[in-house]
Amino acid sequence: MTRPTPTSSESQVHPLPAPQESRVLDTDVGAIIGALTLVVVGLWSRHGGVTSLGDSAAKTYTSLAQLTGLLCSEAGLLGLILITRTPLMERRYGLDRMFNWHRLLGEAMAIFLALHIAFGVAAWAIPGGTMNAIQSLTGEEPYMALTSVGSVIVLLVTISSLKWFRNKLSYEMWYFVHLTAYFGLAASFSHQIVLGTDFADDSLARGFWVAIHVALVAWIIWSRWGRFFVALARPLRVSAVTHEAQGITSVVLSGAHLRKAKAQGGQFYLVRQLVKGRWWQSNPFSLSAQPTTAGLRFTVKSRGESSNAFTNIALGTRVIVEGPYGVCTPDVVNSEKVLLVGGGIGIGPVMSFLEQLTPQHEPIVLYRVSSEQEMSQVKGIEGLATARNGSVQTLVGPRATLKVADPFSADALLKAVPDLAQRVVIVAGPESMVKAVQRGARAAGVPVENIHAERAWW
Amino acid sequence: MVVVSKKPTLGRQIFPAVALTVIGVGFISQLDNPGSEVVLEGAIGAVTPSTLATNTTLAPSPVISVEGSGTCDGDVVTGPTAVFKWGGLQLQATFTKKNVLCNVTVLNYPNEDDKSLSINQSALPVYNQEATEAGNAQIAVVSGATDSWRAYTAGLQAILDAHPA
Repeated sequence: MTRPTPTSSESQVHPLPAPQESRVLDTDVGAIIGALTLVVVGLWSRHGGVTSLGDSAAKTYTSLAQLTGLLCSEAGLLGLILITRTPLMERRYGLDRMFNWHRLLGEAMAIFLALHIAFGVAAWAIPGGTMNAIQSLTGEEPYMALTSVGSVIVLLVTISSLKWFRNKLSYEMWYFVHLTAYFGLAASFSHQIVLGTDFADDSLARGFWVAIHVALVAWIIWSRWGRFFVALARPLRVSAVTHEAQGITSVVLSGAHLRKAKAQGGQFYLVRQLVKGRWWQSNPFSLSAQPTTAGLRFTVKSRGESSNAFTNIALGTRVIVEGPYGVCTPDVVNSEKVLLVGGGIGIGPVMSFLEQLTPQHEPIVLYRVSSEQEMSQVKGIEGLATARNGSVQTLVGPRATLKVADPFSADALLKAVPDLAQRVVIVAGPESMVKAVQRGARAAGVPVENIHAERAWW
Repeated sequence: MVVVSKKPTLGRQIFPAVALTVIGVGFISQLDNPGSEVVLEGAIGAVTPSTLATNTTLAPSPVISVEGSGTCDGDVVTGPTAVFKWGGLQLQATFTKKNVLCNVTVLNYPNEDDKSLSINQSALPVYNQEATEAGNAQIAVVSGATDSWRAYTAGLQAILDAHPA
């Protein structure tokens, strides 16, 4: 199916068009969450949840177990919608925020799950004692053995994602543990339908519940696997590899179907090499040049096993990309002047952003890098900035050797950029630097809505 | 190149919330509402053991009963009929001389269709067993028999309230 990459002389090179804007509003997201919560709590209340509360202990615990179980499912459903990475939301909120919300919902789900288990055991323990209750809830009741396995998996997945554990696990380990969550959720579904009083006794509620789960499964299969297979059918190929500086390499990916792609500077892709042993790993890389029909350029720093595999990639290697993702694109700038701050490898997205600006933006670039050897493409950046009526300032050296304690304090920023308050600030780099710039720019009088940050993906 | 996004109108912002709320409320109102439906009908009476036999033979549905431990030589109390979605459920409780619940008999239960019959025939003996063991109406629900559980516990509680230990 795949054809050899055509040479660029075949068709004229032109920049890729911008991806469509999302029409989804905050109020839409709120309405969906609100309506789902309304239905879930309404289900519970309609089936006697509220009236059972003040009643006997058994009824109160049963009712609370039902409510927490339903809310646990709701958090799970919403969390799964986020990992479909639907462009409807991604184009508006950005993938990193969606991942954050996914994590918060995962934590909420685990809390509801723990409460659900506690109330369930409490309710069942009333006639026969706690041990009896645990026995019937892990085996005797229909589907509860499967459900118990499922909930243990879900709890393990949540625990492994807590920052403390996450940092101790390798990405691969964490990723595979995380994948088992699908099984955990699926395993606990049957008990909701068979045992859950809200669904076992009410066919309309059951129909609704099954329908939203089936729809979600179909959505996930399409968006996570469908898109993957589409990309697999027409992979890109590495068409150029340039060594930029110590440990920093630019890789250009080209392919015929880029003619139909849409992307903008400042965005990133999840990149996957089709090489034995690596095909299952994807890395997020920011575009480091304006994306064109001739290719996508990424600038990668070698900082771990999987990024090393990219800095040493061979020409012609087949690569598939998912994306583009990211909302820090030139769209956020109207006609205001622009300050771009790039830290380390964060200069990549800054470059691709800069390339799409015009002279009216008079871009100033602040390039922060910890050593001379890691500076890459300074000439290129200067060329781009000068052509757009702008300039570049570099700040080199480890933090301890700098003249000022905080190079991004309001004072320091204003000294470098006197008209800072009139500018839109775009910052990409390590998290600590992004935070420092956000703080400094706000203190210098830049409105919050004019500060746009992109995590540096590499 | 630069797209200036239009500010969404107020109607555009409010419409999804209103529409989804209406749909949600409409959906909920279509659901079964078994929560508030257990109605107790008829009086409670303490009867002598001799009437037990009469009641049993007159009962229109098969009697499901579990003997508890201890001698059931105290009061026999026939409860009110707990009327719920699927029909009426009536219990008869027997106490020991020390007024401890020692036996529960189901006099009536919904048995008009096969589904009710099979659910109740499997669940009611469990409830009898649990209630006899617990000595009160604090019993766990059997999956799929929640409505019967609500009627059963309501009926049994009424007997226990009328017959303090």
